[in-house]
Amino acid sequence: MKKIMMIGSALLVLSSSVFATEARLLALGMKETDNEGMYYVQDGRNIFLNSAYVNNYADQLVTEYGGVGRSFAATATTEAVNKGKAQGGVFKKYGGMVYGLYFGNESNTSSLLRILATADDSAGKMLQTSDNQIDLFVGGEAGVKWGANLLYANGKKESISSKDNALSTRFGLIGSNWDAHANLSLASKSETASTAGIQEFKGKLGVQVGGSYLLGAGRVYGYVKNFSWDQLNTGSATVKGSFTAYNFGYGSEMTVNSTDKLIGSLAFRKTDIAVKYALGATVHTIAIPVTLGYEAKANDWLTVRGSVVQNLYGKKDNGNYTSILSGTAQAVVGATYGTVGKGTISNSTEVNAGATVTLGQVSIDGVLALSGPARNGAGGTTNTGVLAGDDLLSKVGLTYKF
Amino acid sequence: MKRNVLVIAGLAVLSTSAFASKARMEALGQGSYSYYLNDSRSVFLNPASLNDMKNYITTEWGASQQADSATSPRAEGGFFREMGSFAYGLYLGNNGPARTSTGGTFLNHQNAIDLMLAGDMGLKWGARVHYANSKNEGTFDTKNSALGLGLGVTHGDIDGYANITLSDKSEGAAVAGDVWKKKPGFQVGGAYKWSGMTFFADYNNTNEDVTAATGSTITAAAGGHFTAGTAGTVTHKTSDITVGAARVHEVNPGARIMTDVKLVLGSDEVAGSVTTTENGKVKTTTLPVTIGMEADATSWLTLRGNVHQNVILGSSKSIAGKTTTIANSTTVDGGATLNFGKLKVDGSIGTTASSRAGTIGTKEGVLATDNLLSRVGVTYMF
Repeated sequence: MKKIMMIGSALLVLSSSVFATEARLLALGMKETDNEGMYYVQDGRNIFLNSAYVNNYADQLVTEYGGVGRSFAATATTEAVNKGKAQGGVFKKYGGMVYGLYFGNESNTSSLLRILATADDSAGKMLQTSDNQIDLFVGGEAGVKWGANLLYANGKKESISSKDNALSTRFGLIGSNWDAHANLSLASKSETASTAGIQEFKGKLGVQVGGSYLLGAGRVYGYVKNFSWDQLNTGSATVKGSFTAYNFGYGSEMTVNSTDKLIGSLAFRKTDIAVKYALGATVHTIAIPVTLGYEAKANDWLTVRGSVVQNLYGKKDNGNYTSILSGTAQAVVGATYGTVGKGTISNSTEVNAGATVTLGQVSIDGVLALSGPARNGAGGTTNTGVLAGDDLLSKVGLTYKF
Repeated sequence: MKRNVLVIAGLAVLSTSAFASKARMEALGQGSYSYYLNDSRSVFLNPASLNDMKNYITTEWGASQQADSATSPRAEGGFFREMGSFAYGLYLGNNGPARTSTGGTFLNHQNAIDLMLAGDMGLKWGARVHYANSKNEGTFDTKNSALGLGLGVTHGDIDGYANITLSDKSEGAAVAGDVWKKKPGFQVGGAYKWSGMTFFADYNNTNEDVTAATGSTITAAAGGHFTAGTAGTVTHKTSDITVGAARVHEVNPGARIMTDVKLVLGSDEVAGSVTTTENGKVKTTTLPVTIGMEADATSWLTLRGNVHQNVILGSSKSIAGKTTTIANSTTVDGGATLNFGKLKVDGSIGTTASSRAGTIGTKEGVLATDNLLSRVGVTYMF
């Protein structure tokens, strides 16, 4: 019995190590703003949560298909599930160390906050989000697995007096039955000419600390994420803002057999955003979502997965969006965190689905069910219950393991 | 011969228990659930059926929305597992019908959960609790809370159930005093298998009051009308009595033909409407016949479909006492299941029009390969 379990575990590690895309985790119910990973599902994407996971996902190349750059459109600030953002990287083991280079994993949280800080959203004046981002990874093992990451982005557009930069680092450890990480945003700055003169977003030290511990058949996990910033606009007083997110829960990736899994989790999530205008704009949400999911190998080349997520409890208390200086920012915050007011977070039930086509060392991941029935340009934004034969997969990622 | 019958019966149970979606039920002409076909959807009619179908997770693809229909499905799903001699289940998003009104918005069921427990102690039994609660604070609060209970038993060839709406109330719409209140409602019924046939009976009633407070701008709800600004209450009652017989004929272990005939006596009564012609009772009498088939086309594909039509009886009698034939009652539905071992992908077929400029809700006889399946439900059995 013990032998079977060991073989099963080994096969599980082998099979899961080829998965490394946002599409897979989104299909399994990931609800992170930056799509940075899940504590209780093994996936290469978790390197953006805990950089020590780079040790588990060496010798592979990952590409996520999608458009270039981050859109400033009100509803597309954060990465839409049906529209990928071009990104990818390579991870290679040399000796006892694993090195990684990844391009384009731009932070949705950073983009959200920069847009939130924009005072003048007229054409060509929006604050730039971080662009051409480079992530460098290094990992090794010394009793425990460790990993570190350095993120750097820098951009400039003199024609509109615009420049931006970002610098952050991640540190992670993985023990036998625990893991921990500290991810630090060391610098984040963006400025652009405004009608009044100059508008600027200036981030202060940002911290995301968290970890998980193996408990029973699953993991108890949690993180706290905090950022604060100053936003300036010529002629106006400096406005301070803060973003804090808490996520604690218990999740399990239960093995049915050597290839199939059931996913389950119960979490407590809280997000607080405050921008201290004279009449402060605030976002407060609390939710207790339950996630039920599965991943099954349909045949030797196809893996299908899906999940249903719903809040058992969900409340919002959002106020004074009209204090936010730009209409674009108001719309972005509304689309992301709900409308102004106090009450239940409505219609929280979500069903996600995805598939992986495995062709030897190549895996093609994608999200299913996001193609609308019409082909007039209106489809592709929500799950309409259609399995489309033409737009079969959305947000496609390709992983090559060498 | 007896042995062959047993084998076929066993295979039939194995194959049918694998299916679990609204798409399958609709493709077989059964609506949300069937009075006689084995399907995991039966748990919403008779929770005792959980004893026969457990250890699976199912997801119904759709949008995060309150309303649910074949053309615009709602996201929902659940998990069912055995635990010793018991079985339990958690289902998310079974939000019930929408409450629509003109001039004000009542809160509907939001984020509903259904908890189920079943056991087999010689007598199979099951229970289901439905719960939803929501509140939006504003100038005035709008609230909804709902609690329902389902009970069922199965013993040999006979089963019975009772689904009870214990409370369901929405407060606040146009003004704080607006109320949509469902009084306790019942759905009771049962089925008996005899000589290859299943005989079934079901009684379902609802009783709800919609009250517009003084100053409310609500002008219409629940089949009645109000005078804007003036207090009023519309009472809406419905009842349906269904009796029928059905037969599932196993052609071979991979194919079956289902036939059912039902007498449905319906009543829809409105009182208190300011439009006096709306006050009264509309009665419907129908005798629909459904002929369906389900066949394993290949090891990985199961196809199904049905034709459904009222015969002999099919009319409604208006408040004024005028009888009208229910026209164009012939419907044909189709569906398929893609079988990948423990994984089943169910869906409807033939719901896509030939044009791609509109929605999927038009049947034009098209087998579309782009919109391959609609109202997809995926079930994984473990």
